[in-house]
Amino acid sequence: MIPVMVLVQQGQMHEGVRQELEHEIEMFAQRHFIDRAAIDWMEVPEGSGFTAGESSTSVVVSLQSNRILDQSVRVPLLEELSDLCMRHTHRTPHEMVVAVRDLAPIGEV
Amino acid sequence: MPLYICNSIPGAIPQSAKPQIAADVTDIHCKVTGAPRSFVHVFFFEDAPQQPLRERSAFLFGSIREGRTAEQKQELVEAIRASMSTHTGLSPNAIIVDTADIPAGWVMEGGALLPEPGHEEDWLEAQSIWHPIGPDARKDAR
Repeated sequence: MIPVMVLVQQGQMHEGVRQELEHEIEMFAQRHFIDRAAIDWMEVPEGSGFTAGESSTSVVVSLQSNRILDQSVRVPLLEELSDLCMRHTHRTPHEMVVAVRDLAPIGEV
Repeated sequence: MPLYICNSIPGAIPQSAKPQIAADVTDIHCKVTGAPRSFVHVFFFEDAPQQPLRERSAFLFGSIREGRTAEQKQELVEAIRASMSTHTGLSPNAIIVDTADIPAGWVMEGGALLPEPGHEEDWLEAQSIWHPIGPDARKDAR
């Protein structure tokens, strides 16, 4: 499985958008990692999310690869994931944080 | 990035304290590391299973860009724990603060890879001349 954490602000997107985004992330994981995504969807409660010290509208998507990625592979993945998330959430690039992390070495959580 | 996620037992962090702690975390992180304020995200949860509390009342975990010194990280942890204690009334012993390093090149924000620590000005300048409206704009910026 490919762990994917999705952090959104409460009330930021309705159920239909969530389902579309989850589907797109599933397809992304299958396409690039030949594995299913294990999506952990977390809604930041109202009044509990802050960016630059102000009320946040940011969406964070953090995916953990099932292999060590060369940067020449990682960057296009980041661009594709960022683009598909922006397309479905209607966030601007400045509201979109995307991470593609390597598989944690043995012994590291 | 940095992304600070705080988990706590319900009610341990009053709603009124959250903006104060978030402002302090932002100020502390920027003062210690020199990062721009716009990079700093602080999100609060209660009873979040993803971040076990280890028998404490609150646990704030920061994913920060790789490259900070051990002294900087220690300063972050101590100052943030003090702020949380001040604003919540919790004993410092009831609060865990920890950080983990994430390579800047693993994260995209504002449509671009995050800069390495110390290269934020160039990054921000590039951002200011790039009008971020989507993937086509990124191609134009190359």
